[in-house]
Amino acid sequence: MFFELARLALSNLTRNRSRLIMTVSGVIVGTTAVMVLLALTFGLQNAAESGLGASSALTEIRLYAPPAFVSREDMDNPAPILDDDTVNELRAMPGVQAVIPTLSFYGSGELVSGDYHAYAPIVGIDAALVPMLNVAIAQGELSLKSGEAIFGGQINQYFVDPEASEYEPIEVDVFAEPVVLRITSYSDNRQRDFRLRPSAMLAPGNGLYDSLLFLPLEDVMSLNEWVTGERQSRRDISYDQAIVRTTDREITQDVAEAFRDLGFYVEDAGDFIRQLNDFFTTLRLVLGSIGGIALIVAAFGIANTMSMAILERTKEIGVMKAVGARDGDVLTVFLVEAGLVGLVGGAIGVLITYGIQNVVNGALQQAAAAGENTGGGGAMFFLPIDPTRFDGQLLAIPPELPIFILVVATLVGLLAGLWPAVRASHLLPVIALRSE
Amino acid sequence: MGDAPDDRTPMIMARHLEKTYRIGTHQVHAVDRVSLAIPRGQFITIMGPSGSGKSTLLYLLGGLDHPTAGDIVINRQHLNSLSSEDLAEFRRETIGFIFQAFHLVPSMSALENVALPGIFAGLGRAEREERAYRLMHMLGLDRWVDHKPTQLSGGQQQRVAIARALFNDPPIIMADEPTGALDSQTGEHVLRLLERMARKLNKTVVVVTHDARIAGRADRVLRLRDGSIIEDTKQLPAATHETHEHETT
Repeated sequence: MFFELARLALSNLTRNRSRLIMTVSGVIVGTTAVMVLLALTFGLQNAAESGLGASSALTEIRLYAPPAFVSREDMDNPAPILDDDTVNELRAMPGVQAVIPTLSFYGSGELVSGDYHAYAPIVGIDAALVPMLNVAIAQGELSLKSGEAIFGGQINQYFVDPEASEYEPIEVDVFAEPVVLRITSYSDNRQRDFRLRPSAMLAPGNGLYDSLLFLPLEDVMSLNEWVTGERQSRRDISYDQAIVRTTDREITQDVAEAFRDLGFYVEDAGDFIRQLNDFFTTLRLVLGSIGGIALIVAAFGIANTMSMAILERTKEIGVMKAVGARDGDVLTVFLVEAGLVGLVGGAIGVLITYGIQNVVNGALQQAAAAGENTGGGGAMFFLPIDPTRFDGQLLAIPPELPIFILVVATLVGLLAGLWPAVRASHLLPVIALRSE
Repeated sequence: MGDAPDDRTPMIMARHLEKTYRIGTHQVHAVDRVSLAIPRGQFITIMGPSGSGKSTLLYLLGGLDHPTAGDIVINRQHLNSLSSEDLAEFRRETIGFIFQAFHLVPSMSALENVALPGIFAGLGRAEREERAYRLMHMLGLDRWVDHKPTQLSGGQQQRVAIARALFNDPPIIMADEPTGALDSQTGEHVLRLLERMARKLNKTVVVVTHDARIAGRADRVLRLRDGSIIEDTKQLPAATHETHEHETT
């Protein structure tokens, strides 16, 4: 029965071809606008996420022990202390692959190389755990003995000449030039220099590691003793941070949550990804709404067309009712007609979007290839983006997007046709038959 | 349908039927306290000057319009109590309508027009078209099956409309000025078909008309003026020599 009515609607649809084409065109423009804009947000999101995935950040959690004054505030729920026992407990938790506790140097670490000075946060790390850092090395090898240091990937570029009148970073080859660490005592401002022997220089581009200077844990402990004047034993050491690596990026957020429940301060890429997702959801909503305006205009077009069609076919509605059509049958015929306008427009819009995707991504891939040859932004220099970052996929269409678009387009048609169709279905046959 | 064993129950009954229109502050009684009973198989014409309410009466009896007051019982069904859904079924099963302007759907072929009631009766396409073809054959329309209404003459269009009215084999045929748009020769042909429905197929045929020729051949003539019946004449069935088995245009 529905099929028969749908067939009737389909044959009605093709009766006024030019009007149909114009109405459908409106829907095509609307759906194409929505879909291209949504595809753009998916492309941008993919690019942003692939940038993250390149680093090991997605399996990494940074754990901070709450500062000592917090521990004293609430006696019933003492804040956790990050000592060796706790570290071992954390290592036993499910999903945890490695825990690398670190101890920060309390003072400020001034690096001096000849006339040039630089500052870098200094962290102490158990030499045995160094291989677990899981980072690429630019030079040297990943090991740490007393008196040695591992340089973050960009520390060598932080040096400046304090005598210079203008700020101008100077690159120092830490392997070739002698580098000393100059520390200052809290109590009497005495200064002391330690000669640093670089064991490794990390590859740049490792985020937080870029600016860090890794020293053996025992070295940092004795530096701290010297600047504070307080003794600290290796046995009851309490770390201030830990780098935790999880077994799988999927469970990173769960592990981070478990740490949070234990009372630690936690920072993981999950937070960042969540913010990123939120941002792109908002972006999708905004861009989708902008495209949606075109779709709303198209909806008015459908409503107008359906009203006209019903006006023209009032007599026919009377005839259908005279030969036994129920209100629901008339409603179905006109709703199917309106829904089909939406569906057909949506389908063509989807096809056009795939075409646009081909053209845009193709152009981008060419530009990226050109960019690799010239070493710069290539032919897309006018865009404030690096085309290589998108991997040739500025417009990304996930499989559910076209389905979503088709459903939305059909719904727009149905909604636009609802009021005219309801009016048509309620027409009294005698009035419909006598209309002129 | 039409399986009522008791032929003495009137097929159509109306009691104190009223239809009032409001035009501005003015009330117009299109149908004014009409009561009537039409037995099964009767060929009845309703006559009267323009605006006498004869078409309105026909539409009320056919369930295409709602009365302001009064009762209608057709084929033992009380129309007042029917929902819009049941009313649609009533029209589909009980009444075949024929209009002065034919009212064929222009985008459909003659065959599809005849088969249209079958869609709403829930018949499959093959069954619909087979039945429609049989009716068109019966009315001598074989050659016009695939033609669109605009390609047909007035007489042919009206015969297509008659075939459509007969599609669900309803016990009642209602016609509003069926010959009004036809020349006298094709009008005569349509008239003969209507007669044949009453005489051969035992259908109750109600015809609203100006055409004295139709009135002359009917079993009964009602005359309306200002919405009321002013004359109700029963007459002997006209000579039946008109009813050939095979007809030509």
